[in-house]
Amino acid sequence: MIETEALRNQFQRQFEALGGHVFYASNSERLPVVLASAYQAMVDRYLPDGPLQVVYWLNLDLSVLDLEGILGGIRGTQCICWPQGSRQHAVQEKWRDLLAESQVGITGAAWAAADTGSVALYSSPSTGLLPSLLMPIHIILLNQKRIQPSVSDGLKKLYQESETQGRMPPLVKLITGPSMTADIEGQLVIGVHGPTAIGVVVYE
Amino acid sequence: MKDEGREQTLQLFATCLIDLFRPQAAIAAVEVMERRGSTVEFPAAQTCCGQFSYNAGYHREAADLARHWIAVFEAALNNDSHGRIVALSGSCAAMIIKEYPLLLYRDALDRGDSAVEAKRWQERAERVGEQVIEFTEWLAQEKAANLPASLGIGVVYHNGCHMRRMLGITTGPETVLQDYGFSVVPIEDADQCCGFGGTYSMTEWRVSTAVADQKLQALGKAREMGAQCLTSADFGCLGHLGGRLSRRRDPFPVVYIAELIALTDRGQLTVEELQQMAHQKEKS
Amino acid sequence: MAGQLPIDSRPWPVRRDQALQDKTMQQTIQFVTRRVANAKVAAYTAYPEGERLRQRAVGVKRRSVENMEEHLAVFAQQVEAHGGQVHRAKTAADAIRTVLEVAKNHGVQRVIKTKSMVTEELELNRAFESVGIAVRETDLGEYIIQLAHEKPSHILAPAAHKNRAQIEALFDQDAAAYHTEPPASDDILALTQYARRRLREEFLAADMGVTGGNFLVAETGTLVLITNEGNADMVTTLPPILVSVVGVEKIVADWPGLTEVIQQPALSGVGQRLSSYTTMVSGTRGTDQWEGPDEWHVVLLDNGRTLLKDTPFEDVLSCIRCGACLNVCPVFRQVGGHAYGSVYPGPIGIVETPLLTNFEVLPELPSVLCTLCHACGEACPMDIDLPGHIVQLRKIKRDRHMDAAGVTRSYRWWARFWATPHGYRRSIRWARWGQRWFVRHGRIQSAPGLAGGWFNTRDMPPVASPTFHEWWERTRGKGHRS
Repeated sequence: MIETEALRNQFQRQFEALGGHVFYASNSERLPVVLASAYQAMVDRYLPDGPLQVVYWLNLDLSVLDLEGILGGIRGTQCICWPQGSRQHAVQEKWRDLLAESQVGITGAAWAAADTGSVALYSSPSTGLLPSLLMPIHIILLNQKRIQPSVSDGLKKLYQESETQGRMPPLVKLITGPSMTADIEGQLVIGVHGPTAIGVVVYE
Repeated sequence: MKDEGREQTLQLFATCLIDLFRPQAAIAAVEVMERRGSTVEFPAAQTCCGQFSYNAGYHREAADLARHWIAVFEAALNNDSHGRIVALSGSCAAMIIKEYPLLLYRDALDRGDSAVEAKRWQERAERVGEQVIEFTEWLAQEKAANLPASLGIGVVYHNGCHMRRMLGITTGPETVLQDYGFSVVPIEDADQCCGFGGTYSMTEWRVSTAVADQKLQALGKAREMGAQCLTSADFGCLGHLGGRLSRRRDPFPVVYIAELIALTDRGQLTVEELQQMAHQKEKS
Repeated sequence: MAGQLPIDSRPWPVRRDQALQDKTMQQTIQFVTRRVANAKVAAYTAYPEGERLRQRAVGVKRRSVENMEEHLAVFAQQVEAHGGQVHRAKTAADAIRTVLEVAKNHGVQRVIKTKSMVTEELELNRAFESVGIAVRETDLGEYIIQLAHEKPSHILAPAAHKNRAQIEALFDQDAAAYHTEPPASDDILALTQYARRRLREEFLAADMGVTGGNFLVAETGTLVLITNEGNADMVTTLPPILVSVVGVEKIVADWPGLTEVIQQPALSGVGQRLSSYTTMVSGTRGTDQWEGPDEWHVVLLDNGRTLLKDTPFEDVLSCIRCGACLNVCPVFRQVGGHAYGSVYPGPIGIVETPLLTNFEVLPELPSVLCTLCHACGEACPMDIDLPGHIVQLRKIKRDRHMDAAGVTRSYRWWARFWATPHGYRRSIRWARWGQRWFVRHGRIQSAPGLAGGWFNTRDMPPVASPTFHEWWERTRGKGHRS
């Protein structure tokens, strides 16, 4: 128990050092409240004006979470669930536009690493990468049990899972801080292609 | 380590640059070593370690100089495995300790010697290399007696690149200076090269000078912070930076580290004395 | 077979003088290299685990390169088992042909790219444009360079030589050409926002993505891409066709090996424990999936790399392109990347360029761009013996008679005289005699021959009277004990 807490604290320190925001829900009942206030804090800070549209997918343990209910009251937020099942080209085009026009992506996570402050996402029929990439704000819902001590441990976990699955997920992505660049005069700027702001809501 | 109570005999390797262009540095080093009870011997057949040629890719030529160097100092040591060779340059010491063994091994093979013969040269180089010690490293091991608390003189110490990266000597010389009462003034990008690079300073003088000017720019800031002289344990770097200062008609004092210590030993260290010492060469 | 590298064919003195006169470039390069070099040191200090990982990473890279062919075969097998296709390219020309063929087969119109040194090596953009395919660099620095029609000046920070005013001018031009709103100001944030907006259109419209690769994992058939901007994620997720051009030396035998090397590019390159985005591609999109390429081609490029196998230079193949050696190099800090004239600048560039091309291009590099300060050797996270290699390359040049005859003669005579005490004394007598014509105000201010260059910018004291040898002889005599 203490170990989990230590890992969570280490993860939080690292993630915040990278410019990310960490929120904590000490139990599942508190999650909706914490998520709502995290969401409110982030949109008010980074997108103070304009309409809000969220595209999301959640890990299975949160499948009962009613995002529409939780966020709908905040500046008239619209919530759209990331599609599941097979795709066709025409639908894909439509989705791409929808994603490109949305402001916030909310996703689950495969695991996180405490020593680097990283979060891992896999692409699968029900878990996608685009909601973590195209919008200015990305919020991750992370079950505290998924925090690994190090990125090596996380990668080991991925490897073991792939052995049971028979293959690696075709796309895996480790997020370690917001999108940034220092390509102009060596000055750090946040939010080049990916999100300007990332937040993690850790829950138990 | 030094055997307490036993008078040590030190073989001095003065280096060609000091021999030709700054003999006062070696004279001062002799004074410093003798004042601490050592017997100093100077194998008079010594010339140059060959690093200029080695770094430029002229390894056959460098090997000729290396073999001569080894012969001279082996003879001077006369099989005394405790004897030590004090080198007045971190760079030359690194050449001998780090580069001689493989240089001579490869050169022997290139000249058609047997592998056994090549290995023998390598081992000779390694053996004599183990007895080489850079001057400030030797000085740091000596107990300093009657040290002045503070001289009130600010110095910038430039650590030569080979001293730092090949011999792994980093803060030692500055500690020595502090022990002797100097205030060591920090310099920006202290670990950056002065641009000398042996014959590189001649063949690519434009780039070499640009690098030197950057060092002098950093030195300028250190001077504003109270530095009154520039010193180093490598005369290659000092000659380069000093030569550039001289061309810019800048009289800022540049002196070899042993000269500073010798002056402190004599209790004569003042800023005026220092300036005079730095510009001695102009009177000659 | 020797590789082909594109070069700046202007002679070294022209490249050098242009660089030394470019004060804007010098200022920016010096700021950037210092910032990153310091960040690297700080990152390792705050993360002791990093050093342990680094040492293990060296072992992983060395072992993977040792059995490169074997691992490449496994890699190809794995990629093909997961829907991808692997192509081997012996030369740059082979690689270009393969990539263009893929594009042609799919009627590709618009290509988006991640930053990749290998595609710079191929001049792939020029190849695309020559067949009428529009190509867009999406790394901010590369995008700037593409607009300026220039080459990168730093492995990790391609536009490190440009300042904001120059970049704003380029973006203004681009905005006019694409009939879009120009950047609001030359503020760095405004410039970045302009790039985000402009490149977003290109990401969404592209029909083929091209990437390089930081690592290839043989065991799982995985390509690993590391970026801070997130552009590699765009390129691997959005377009239906993905082509990855990667040097054969990027191979890592297995997944545990990857876990040990994966943090090194960020730790040593920018001083982060991991870059913002690490993207791993292990095959094409499944039929039930929304993202990822329908088709994935991996082009494994040799272009001279295997020439280094089983030579004393084999460790060069461990390079992870972190740029740490550039950042600490005092010469690079003065002249920037363009002066090298090669795609690969800095210490690694002056070693790799002649080795990959068997000295066919830019043979001057090892001689003219290094003071042998060993800072690169100290900084290299992969323990590549850069200073040692530079010395050896100079020796090879000498052995192949590539130096001017006069220079060679100077070194030969120098050694001939100084290898004996007698010759040494004689040379001093001559120097004293000769220097009389060159001493002014007590200093030597010019000299003929090899040493002449020194005196263009620096003085030297005349040969001392007495020298230390002479002083000793006079005051201590032979066998004197004090």
